[in-house]
Amino acid sequence: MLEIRNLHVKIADEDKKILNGLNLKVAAGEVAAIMGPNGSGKSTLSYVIAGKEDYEVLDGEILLNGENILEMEADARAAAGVFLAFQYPLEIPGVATMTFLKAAMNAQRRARGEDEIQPAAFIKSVNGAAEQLGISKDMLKRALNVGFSGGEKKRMEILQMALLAPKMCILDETDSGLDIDALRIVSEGVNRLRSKDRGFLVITHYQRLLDHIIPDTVHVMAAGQIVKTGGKELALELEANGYRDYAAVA
Amino acid sequence: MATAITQRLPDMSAAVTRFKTPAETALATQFASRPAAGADAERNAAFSRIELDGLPSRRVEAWHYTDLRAMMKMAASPAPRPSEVLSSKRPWSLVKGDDVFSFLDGWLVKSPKLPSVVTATSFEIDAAKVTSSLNRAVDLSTDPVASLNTAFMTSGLVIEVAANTIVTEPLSLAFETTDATASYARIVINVAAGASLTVIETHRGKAGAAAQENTVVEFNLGIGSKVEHIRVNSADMLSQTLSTVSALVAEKASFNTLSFTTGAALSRHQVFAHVHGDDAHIGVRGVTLLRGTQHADSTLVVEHDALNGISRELFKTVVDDEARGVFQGKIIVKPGAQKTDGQMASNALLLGEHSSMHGKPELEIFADDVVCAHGATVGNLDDDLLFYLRSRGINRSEAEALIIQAFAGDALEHIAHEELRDALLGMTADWLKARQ
Repeated sequence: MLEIRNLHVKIADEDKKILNGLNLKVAAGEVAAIMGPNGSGKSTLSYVIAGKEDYEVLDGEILLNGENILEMEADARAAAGVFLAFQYPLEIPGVATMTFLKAAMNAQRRARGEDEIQPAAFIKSVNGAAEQLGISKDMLKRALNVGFSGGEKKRMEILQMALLAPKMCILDETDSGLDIDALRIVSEGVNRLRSKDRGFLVITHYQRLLDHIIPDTVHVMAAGQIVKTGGKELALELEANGYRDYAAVA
Repeated sequence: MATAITQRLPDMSAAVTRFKTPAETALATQFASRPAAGADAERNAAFSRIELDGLPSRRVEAWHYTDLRAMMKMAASPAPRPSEVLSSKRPWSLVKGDDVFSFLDGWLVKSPKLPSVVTATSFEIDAAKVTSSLNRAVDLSTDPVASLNTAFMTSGLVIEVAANTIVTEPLSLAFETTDATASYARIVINVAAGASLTVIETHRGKAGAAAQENTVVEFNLGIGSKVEHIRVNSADMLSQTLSTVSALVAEKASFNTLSFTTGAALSRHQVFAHVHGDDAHIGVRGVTLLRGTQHADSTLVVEHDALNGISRELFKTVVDDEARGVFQGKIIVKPGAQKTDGQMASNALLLGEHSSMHGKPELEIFADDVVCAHGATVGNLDDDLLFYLRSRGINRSEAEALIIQAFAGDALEHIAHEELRDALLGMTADWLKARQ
């Protein structure tokens, strides 16, 4: 599904290097977690996969189903199946949530040469997905994320993920700012989307998210590299011992 | 060659000699040969004022960003009364069912059949009534643009709405220009106590004709009356437009005006609105979408002279290419106008590397128990916002359009007339499509 080879990345306008020869594979159907200390480059990795322009890729490849996506614009990557659930979803005053959802769904359909979604089918699928995530009709009527709580914004991210049905889902610290109830709702939303055709990259500081979204693989990231890979038990080990050992490895 | 005029000021013994600028000389020539349209006393008074004061230079603060002298140097001749009658084709209209007054090059050429509660009096019907109605809302006699309008006005029209009536269909003032001439229309709208009215004013012109318009619309709002005025400037990109809206708002009355500008090479829109009775409300808003080398100036003065007045001023300016936007807004709270609540904001979005915006919001407060605020922001499209939208599959131009549409929509959403609001949202979308 996703394969990252020897990825070297720096911030575009600075000499600051963030990723230093990172290698990573996520298979279809796999849920891979990336854990690591602050500043290890986790969020940068998610942005670089999604196509944010603030970074310069110095070397390496990101392959989605064998195709190098590095030359593609962010919207083309989305249409190809990449989805990033943001750590801090943005508020867009004046853009109604429904308008935005429809624009996104239709943009991806057009990019793939498909017909636009029928209005009735659109409303039905939004309402269905919203209900499962406890998103009220009132929230859907408001401007996107404006005045939403942290938990509501994260649920809105998962709603978008459900509607856009991506191949590769990247969750950037989706658990940050969530209380226990919201964490459960969001995790259930993610778990419903798990399928043999879809890969997940779950980025988190803490093990607690991985109690709800059980990973197949856990990677430890430090200083812009994957420094250790293991099963879900690795997360527990990290929770007990912290990241100190790995900072030394990098 | 400049011509000297000499005047003797009453309180000074020395003679002051001032040289006329080329613009003033050009106007004087045109004034002498203006088309006959009545109201000579008022015209002569207005023109004397211009001759006495001169056109403002850019050293005059209110005219720092827009050069009226330069605009008038190229002053076109006043349009002659149109000989051809407008074709039976319905004029440009933004909503269904409105009653349309058609103006051609500033001359009223067609009046609608009006509901019984509305009367319209033109120059042709009763010139004395029209002239006696001028400058009653706000005294515009010291404003150079309004004085030019008075001096040269071609059409004069007074529209009156009877007390306690709701005029359900909007009244439209549809202005079309056909030539590189100057048009000067003057409208007075008197809305009696308890009445309510929507006024749509549209301006457009023949493509490629560098028309010059100077339009003044004056509103007198009676106690508890309600007026929504929407002005759409879709003038041809070669034309220049000067426009003035004034309003006197009585107790418990509500006046909302919004200007939507996409047209004209050079435009200046002025609003002078007075909260004159207690518990009155004024909304002055604008959406200006500029490209190429357009220059658009929005200048407003909202004066509070009564208790509990509320005013909301919101201007959204989108500037692309090498265009330039200007916002000059002032809220004046007179002594005794306690509990005034005035909130003014000018927000500009610069899309081009060479786009520019000049903003000057001001408050002048002479009462001690008021809530007033002003703010001016100028910014570019937010890259993080764009990335968020693009990460969902929306391409760059569509993402930009969504953000810009939302930015303009902030002001448009205050339009009460739903069909009209949708029409302007549609025009915003059209402007954005042309950008892509």
